Amino acid sequence: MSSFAPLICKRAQSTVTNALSEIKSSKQLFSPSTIPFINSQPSVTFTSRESKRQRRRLLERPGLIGVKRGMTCYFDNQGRRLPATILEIIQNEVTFTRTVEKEGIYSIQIGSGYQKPQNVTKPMLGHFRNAKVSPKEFLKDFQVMKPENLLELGTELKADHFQIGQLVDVISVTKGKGMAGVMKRWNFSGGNATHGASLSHRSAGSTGQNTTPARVLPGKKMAGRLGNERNTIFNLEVLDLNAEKGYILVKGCVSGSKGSFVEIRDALKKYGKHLINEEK
Amino acid sequence: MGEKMIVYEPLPKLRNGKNLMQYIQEAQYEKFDKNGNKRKSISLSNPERIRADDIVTVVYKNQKPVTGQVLMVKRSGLNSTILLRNKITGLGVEMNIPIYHPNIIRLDVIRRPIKYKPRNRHYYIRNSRLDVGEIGANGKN
Amino acid sequence: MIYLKTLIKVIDNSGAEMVECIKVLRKNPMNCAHVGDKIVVVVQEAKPLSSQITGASASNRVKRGDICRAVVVRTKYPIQRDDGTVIRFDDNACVLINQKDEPIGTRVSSVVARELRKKNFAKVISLAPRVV
Repeated sequence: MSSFAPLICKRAQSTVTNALSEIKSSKQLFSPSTIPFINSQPSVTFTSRESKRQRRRLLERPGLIGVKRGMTCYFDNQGRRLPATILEIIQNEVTFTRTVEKEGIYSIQIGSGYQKPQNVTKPMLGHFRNAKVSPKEFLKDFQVMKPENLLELGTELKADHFQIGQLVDVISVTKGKGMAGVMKRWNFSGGNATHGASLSHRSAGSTGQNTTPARVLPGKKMAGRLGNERNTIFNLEVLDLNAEKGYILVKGCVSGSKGSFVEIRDALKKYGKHLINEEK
Repeated sequence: MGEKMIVYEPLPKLRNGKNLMQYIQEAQYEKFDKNGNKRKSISLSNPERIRADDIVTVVYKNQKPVTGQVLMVKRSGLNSTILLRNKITGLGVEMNIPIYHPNIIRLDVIRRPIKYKPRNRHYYIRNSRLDVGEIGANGKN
Repeated sequence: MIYLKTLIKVIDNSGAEMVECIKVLRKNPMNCAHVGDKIVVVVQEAKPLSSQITGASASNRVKRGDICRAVVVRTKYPIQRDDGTVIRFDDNACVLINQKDEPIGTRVSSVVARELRKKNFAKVISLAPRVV
């Protein structure tokens, strides 16, 4: 379809120019059917990268990278006791930015932590040198909406990037549980404990039909590796923060073990917007 | 490879390099237990600490005090709790109370046993002949 | 944690002593009743009727086999409050109520939980000798 578009456009243009050149006076009428197509830009295809970006829900600011340090409790002004997770914000600096012209998205790469230079490869050292920041342990890209949202290289981001009471999403890698059976991994109910059950107390049972379809359908829940995957927890409330001391307290729990890096961003479901709706 | 790569210095360390969990715990104690009485009352180094088998009254700012016999003391930072058991109109009632809650003014030890039992968790006294009596039923508290 | 077939003590003077839960009202079938939830019960044990009892309490007496509504006033399962306190009683108990959520009996003999006030059972709270 798209391969025909330029041809059609060319013909339309020529038809219009021919028709206009034949016009002797302004009173002369010509049928609209003589102009089969109007010269226009070919529309952006649905699957193109730019149209996907237009349809995506995006934020106007980048997030932060924290380190999960543990849990504590928090007494609020109404006398409630709330569970809270402590996230440390250390050495957060902008290391790189991407633009639509070059990479197809607007995004800000943020680095966190510190690594000794002798443990970093030379290409990465050059990457950090370009941004004039120290070698970072953990890098993450945060996609933003507009070119105005991009930050300068080397900008330091502190915990007061967020506000007390706002909602954030926290993304991290869950604890790996190793090889796990179906009861633990998919909450199957297992087999009988008694009534003559042998070797099938925790088994998955049937995995499908017989001759038709004569195979196990894709996506069948089976035993396998559990955990160690990226997980997002949406809409956690920020209870407390301190930019000087470098920490954020969020309500509730966060995936992953202590000491693991977590991404913290504004709650996408609350603050995120679509570029298509913005342009209208 | 001969040219030396420029490496920038990291940002200055926060809290003079102090552990964050330790810092937050101290800050929380400073906020919720200014004079250190609550910390002292459950500290293991204090011989006068609250132990299982003591009879304790928890005095609140905005509600009636709660009295009972201590079944256990859970020490976990700001979330430390004591489990109090009492009998009210013949019925056993247990309350697990976070002692650092800002509405709690103080913890009073009313009575100590002559000899402590050789356990730190007294769950086994429930519904046995060692069970607590009706503490504070005469309108003392 | 009160659900189908749970035997519960009755702590009012309606005449019932032990009732059995047959329905937890306005909850998911998989859920169970906690303090302040309404349930439907069958009277399993009742005090014998005697001529000495007169007045309003006599007309409201229930018999064995009666089906009536009740509100749970205390549970063995621990209740966590907003301030972090966890409270646990040694038994499950309820008070019989009518269709308008008013208690059938005129007296409540034992301690009840404070959570009832939030669920608009102030009458039960005022009748109780002690509220925890």
